[in-house]
Amino acid sequence: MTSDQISLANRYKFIRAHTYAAFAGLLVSAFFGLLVSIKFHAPGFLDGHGWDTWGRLRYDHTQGILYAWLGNAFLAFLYYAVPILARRNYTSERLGWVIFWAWNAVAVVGGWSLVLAGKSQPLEWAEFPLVIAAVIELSLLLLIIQFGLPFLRGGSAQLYVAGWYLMGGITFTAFAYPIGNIVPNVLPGAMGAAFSGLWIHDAVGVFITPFATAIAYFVIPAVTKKPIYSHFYSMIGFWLLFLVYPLNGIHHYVYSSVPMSAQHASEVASIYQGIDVIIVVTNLLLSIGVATEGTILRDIPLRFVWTSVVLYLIVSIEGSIQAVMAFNSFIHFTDWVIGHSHLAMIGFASFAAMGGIAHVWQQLPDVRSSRRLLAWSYWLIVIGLALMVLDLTGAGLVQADLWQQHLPWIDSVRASRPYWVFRTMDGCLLLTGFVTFGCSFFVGNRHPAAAGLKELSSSFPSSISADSHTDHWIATAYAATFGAGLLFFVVSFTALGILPAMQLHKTIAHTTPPGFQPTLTASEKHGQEIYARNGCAYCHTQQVRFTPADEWRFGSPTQAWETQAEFPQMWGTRRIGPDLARESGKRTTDWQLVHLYDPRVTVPDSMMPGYRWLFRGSADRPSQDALDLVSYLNQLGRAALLASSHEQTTPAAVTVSNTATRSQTVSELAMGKKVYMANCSGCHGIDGHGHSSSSRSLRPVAFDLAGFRLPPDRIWSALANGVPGTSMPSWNELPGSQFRAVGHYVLSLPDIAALRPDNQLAPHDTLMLAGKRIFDTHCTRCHGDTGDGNGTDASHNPRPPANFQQLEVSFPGATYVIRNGVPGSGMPAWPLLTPSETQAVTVYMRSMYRPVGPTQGTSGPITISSSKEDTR
Amino acid sequence: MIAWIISIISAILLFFIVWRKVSRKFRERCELPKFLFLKNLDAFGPTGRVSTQTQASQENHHGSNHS
Repeated sequence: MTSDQISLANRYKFIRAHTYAAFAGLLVSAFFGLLVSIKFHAPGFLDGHGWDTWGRLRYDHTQGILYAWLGNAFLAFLYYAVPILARRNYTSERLGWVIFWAWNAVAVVGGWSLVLAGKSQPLEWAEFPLVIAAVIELSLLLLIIQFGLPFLRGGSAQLYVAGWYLMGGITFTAFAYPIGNIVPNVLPGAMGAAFSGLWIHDAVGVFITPFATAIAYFVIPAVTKKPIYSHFYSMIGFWLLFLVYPLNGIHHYVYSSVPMSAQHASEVASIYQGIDVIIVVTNLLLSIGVATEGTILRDIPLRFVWTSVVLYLIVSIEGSIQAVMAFNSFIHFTDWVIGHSHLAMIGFASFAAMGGIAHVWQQLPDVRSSRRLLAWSYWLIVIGLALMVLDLTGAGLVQADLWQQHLPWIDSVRASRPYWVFRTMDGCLLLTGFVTFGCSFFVGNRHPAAAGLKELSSSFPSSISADSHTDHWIATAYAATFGAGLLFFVVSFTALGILPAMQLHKTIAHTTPPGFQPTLTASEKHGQEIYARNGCAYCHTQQVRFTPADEWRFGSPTQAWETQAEFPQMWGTRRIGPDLARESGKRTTDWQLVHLYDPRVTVPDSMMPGYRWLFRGSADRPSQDALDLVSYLNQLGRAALLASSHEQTTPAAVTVSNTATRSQTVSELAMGKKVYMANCSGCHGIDGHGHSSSSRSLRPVAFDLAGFRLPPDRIWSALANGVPGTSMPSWNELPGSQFRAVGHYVLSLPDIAALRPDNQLAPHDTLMLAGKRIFDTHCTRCHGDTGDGNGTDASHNPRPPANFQQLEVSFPGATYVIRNGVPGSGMPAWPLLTPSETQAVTVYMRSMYRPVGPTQGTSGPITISSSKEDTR
Repeated sequence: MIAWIISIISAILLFFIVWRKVSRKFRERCELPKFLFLKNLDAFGPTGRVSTQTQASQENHHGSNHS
């Protein structure tokens, strides 16, 4: 069927089909979003499978909003608007169905399923696997044939601005899409990130924005029946959008190793873009204001569009400010950015799409619509969105502030929790609004069957007046500018993608340390794939930025040469958990496994989902996938660590002074207990014994703080520097008061009481003699004759044997260790020792204790020899 | 390079602004699509929704205040 033979009935079919698909996409995607939101504050919710893990649901949330909801809504609008704007019908009915099914059945449903099955790319706005990306690109090219050709046939001098935006959107998206989806798979790390950044912004700039703006320029005059304020300025806005927008993308990677010239370019372009939006929005608001003469907008679709226009201004100005590097260093990676993206995708894009399809629906014959429900949906969505954006913006500011302070990372997660709970409530309001919006299309009065659009074939309106000379020049100038736009598009990829990549290539060649192998082992490579497909990059960045806060917290900034093995890059754009670029050497493998199995065992209050489906029932029975993932995590930053080991001096260390004395107060112990419960109880247990099965999955198992008393300097040193070879990290980032408090609390934990006479199984001397005999027989090879830990076999143990001259032993602590051993330390279990033998050897070990200096909570405050002194 | 790109973009837009300033004909012609759009709506849009009258340009009405 050719375009001339396409009937109105068929046009209605396409509008209805894409509208229904848009509703389905909106509801499913928003539902995914709600699940994701709930998991922030209830990480155990809907847990236990790969498909329902946070990262995969998040992938489908964003992809669904972009393609299933907005894509279909825009397509429905195209079938209505293009014939009116171009005065030509779309190209082919058969092509229309091909596009519909390719877009929905293959791309959306197929894409969702593949993502849930763990087949995805870790690239923002490009998460669908490559095979789906190919279908989407094919669909975009078909859109050019379906809707671009009618515009080309209609001429450009008299083309209304909405037509320009639609044509620009169709064309530029088809060009931009493969660059963001394919190039990062070919160019690694920093080089690929430059292209990813361009697509992240082009998805909004050349796909969402043109269609949403076209809807505004279409619906406003269609409803008010008056022309827009200025067509000239609308065209200035159009040209500026397409000439400048593609230059924005790198602002997602400022303070990274992408060349600074590209970062500055994106900053300048982002500010320039703000000027464009002011022009566009001023023109649109003047068009509405003058046409309605300030009266209330009684037309609900127009109300949606008006809101979209106002929020377009707000979100764009916000975006321009976010791109300014000084501000970016503060709020980047926080929930502020998530608030910003919701404002863009719901506030601007979705309000325009809802206004557009609601307007179109009102023109269709023989369908139902309810003005009342539509009005309800408007207010529900407006209120839900306003609350959500304010909530996320507040959360972002809190997170940014905490990240600037020298506080443990988990503090920002704890502080965010109330905001995340509130966000779920906002999400419920939004989802209710979306459902109400959809329902308004199925209830209410039925439109007369005789209503509807007019046949295109009746008569084409001619130009308003003939002035072929001027029209020719205008057409030429517009065509030249559109061509320049396409050229600039290529230039933008050259300036902000290809040239930085070339520069990075040179930088990498000069800076790569000798001997560096830019490849991963098979296990690490597989781990990288698991990391990618589960959306880990959405919570953990892998780029330490060149900012003081990042360097203090994570270490040296990520250099371009380190990222040579990243196909594609996994820098991420959000931090819910800490950056992982310097993970190598920080944690032991068993800590990583326990954390992966149940994150809250090792990090109380963590919101990370557990990955139990990567294990066979317990943390100490990992699948090969889990081992490979940990293997990948453990190599992150290893190259930089090795490269710096020859250059750097010993990392700033905290030294301890035993000479100062300090008496801990009750309030300090209370604070210490609070800090302990929040940060330490996961491994060491609520009572300090650390006997839970999860704690004992660590190798070596967590130290029994209640059963053994270490010298105070060992406690302070472990808190400050961690304990190499164990899962004990440094807690040097705790504020001074909390650091001291938790130290004193830990020092107060051991209960080293002597045996009560009624518990003594033999006279003391008898126990001593028997204990010495048992010790000499079983223990001296490791612990030494005098119990100083220097036995002949001491060096064969994975951990230095206990030095009983410095370690005070409690009877319950020793009994537990003798019975169960200390897995991971070399200390075996001695289950055959009888209770009296166990008591005897404990009495003997206790007799070896020779404390030096203060023994319990009397030592303290420590002296610091690092730059982190301000935290104490 | 970015300075060049931004300069060229600005020059293109300036070209249109200057052209509009110096040519009354261009000023009128580049506003015509918005009227033609209303006419298209009348011809191909929903039945009985849009007036067939060509509206006067709001910008021209308020031209003295805005341009």
